[in-house]
Amino acid sequence: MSTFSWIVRKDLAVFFSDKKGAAMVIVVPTVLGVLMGTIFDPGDGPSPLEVAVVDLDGGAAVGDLVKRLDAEASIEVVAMGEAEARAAVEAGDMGVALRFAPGCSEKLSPQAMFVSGDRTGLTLWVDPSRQTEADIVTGLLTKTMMESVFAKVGDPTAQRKMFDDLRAGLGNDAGSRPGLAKFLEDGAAFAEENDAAQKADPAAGGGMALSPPLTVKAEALVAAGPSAGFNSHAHTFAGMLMQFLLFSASSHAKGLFAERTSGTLDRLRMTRASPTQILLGSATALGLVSLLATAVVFGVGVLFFDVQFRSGLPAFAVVAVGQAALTGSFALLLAGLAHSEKQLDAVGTLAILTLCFVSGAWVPAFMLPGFLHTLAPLVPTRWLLDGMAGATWRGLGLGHALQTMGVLFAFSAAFAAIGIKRFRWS
Amino acid sequence: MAVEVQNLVVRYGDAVAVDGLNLSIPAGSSFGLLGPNGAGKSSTIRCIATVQVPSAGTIEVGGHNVATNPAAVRGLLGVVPQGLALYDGLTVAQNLRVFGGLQGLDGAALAGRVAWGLELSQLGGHATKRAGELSGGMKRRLNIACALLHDPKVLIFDEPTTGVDPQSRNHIFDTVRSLHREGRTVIYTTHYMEEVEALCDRVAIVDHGKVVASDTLAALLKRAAPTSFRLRPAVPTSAEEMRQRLDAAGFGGIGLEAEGQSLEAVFLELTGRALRDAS
Repeated sequence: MSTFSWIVRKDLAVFFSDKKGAAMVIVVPTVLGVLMGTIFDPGDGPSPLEVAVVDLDGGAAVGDLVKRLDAEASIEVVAMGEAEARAAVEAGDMGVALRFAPGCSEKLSPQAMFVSGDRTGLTLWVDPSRQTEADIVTGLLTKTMMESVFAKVGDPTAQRKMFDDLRAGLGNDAGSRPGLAKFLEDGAAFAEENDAAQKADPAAGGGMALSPPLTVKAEALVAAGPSAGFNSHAHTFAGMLMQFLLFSASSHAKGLFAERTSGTLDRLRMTRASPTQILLGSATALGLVSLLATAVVFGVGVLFFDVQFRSGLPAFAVVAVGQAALTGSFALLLAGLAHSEKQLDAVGTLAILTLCFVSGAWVPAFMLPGFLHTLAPLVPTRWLLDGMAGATWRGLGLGHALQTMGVLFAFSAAFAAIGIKRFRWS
Repeated sequence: MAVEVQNLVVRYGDAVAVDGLNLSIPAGSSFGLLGPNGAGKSSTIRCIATVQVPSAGTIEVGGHNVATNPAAVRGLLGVVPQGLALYDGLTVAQNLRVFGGLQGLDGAALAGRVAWGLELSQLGGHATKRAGELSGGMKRRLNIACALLHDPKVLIFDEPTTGVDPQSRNHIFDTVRSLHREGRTVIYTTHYMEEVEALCDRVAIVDHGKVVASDTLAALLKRAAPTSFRLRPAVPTSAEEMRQRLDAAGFGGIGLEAEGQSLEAVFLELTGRALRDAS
């Protein structure tokens, strides 16, 4: 057996000599992955957003709008009094509340789209920590508002009223605006014709109806095919495992410091092992632990949570090897950058939490600020999680996995080089 | 020469730990390296052992330059460190296997040397016990065995009896003597003069990073005027009777102290010389 192999074997023996500690490295990310994956499992669809609605208007148009809003799958309307809704948002119990002031129903008319005038009356109360919910509600509210108004345009009675109101609004300006006056008069005649036509043949409808020019058809796209979908456990297992392996790397770096203090590191240097072999051997041992942990954690995922390797097992193995290299080299980096256990605790915790946060392990990556998206190519853990997703539920293929491994190897080489260069042997 | 150190300088920042030290250790000798704390002994040992790069100077071990051929030097050297450099989580046998394997031993040769190490350290019955569970004396013995697995020709013992019981200390002395009798060069660093007097035939005294004296033990002892003489009665007699005889002979001004009654001698007589934890 080579000297390098003895170093790896020694470190593995030391790691597994603490059986409970070794088990924790595997059990804890599995448990957390199961928990988080179950919590964030979209199941049959996302839970609807609760929106408080304060209807001080009481009119038919606002009632229709609120009914349409409640019919949206993403929204659940909760009727509340004004004080109650305000208090709920201030306390954080509700993210968004809609307040319809008296007179809103009259403003929800087709003719209001064409004339300038008072458009106030609708207030959106927002919990500032839940701006994303407010954006979703605003978008859906605008959509349902237009649908509600457009539906009225198709109603002959509403059409006639619209043109009558517009002509009445024109008033004394009719003389100075003959074109508009003629248009409105023709429109009123058009409305009369529609009314007569509907009365003659109710099945024919109002003759003119407005609707969005294009209907939206949502289609989930996954490279693995139409039957594939997002598997929350695949995501959380990858994220939790990555995080715990990084913490294991910090612990491993601490082990190197302990060897330095105890003198075993000097003893190793008095053998045939070179300093580089000692450090790389140690990192390799940790990498092998990483592979074992990955196999067990994802084994649980495959057996019990329908995690699938949609790019094939070789692709997943390739990404796992990249993760192993990153884990081992990260230990060397920390051991090289920190010169004491206290420094290691601080530097390690900062580095790990930052890497986990910006990679999207805790918060979905799309929710992160724009500048972090720009920095993403510089974050190895982002590549790792993307690689894991590509190997599992996204099914992006072996090519994507190899690219991920290549990038992770590049980061690992840099981490190891820095760590070995800066490591203090005494 | 087994070890030749010339103009060795070791600096730690602005502090000079070894300041132009010269040392010649003959092959086959039992060489004591004495000096107070901070004298530069450990730094010198670390440089000889190839784990520290000197700031200046040259070191040769068995004719091999430490700087240019460290691998050959490591093959010749067996260093018993001052600290207990063992893996507490591994068993006695695992520790021996790891350090033997790292010295290039393999297969049957490794198994044989591990068995030899267990015999030397008298830990055969504790082979499957974790090193962390051993007593201090047992750990010291294992510490020694781990350094000798590759049959080195030059042995360095860096304060090997720190914190051990008298039985273990005696066992270590016996081990050192035995290894020396096999023709190996032994370098022994310690604070304890009596250890050097018991084990070494040549001594260097180090202070402030320099060798202040280096000679045979006998020659060094002659440098100091004797402060006492040993009287050996032909017939065993009591201290009281000896005092009376001296007074009668006109030597009333001489102080008399009885020998052979050290506390260690009483302890070993009462508790025995055998290792309590030997297997």
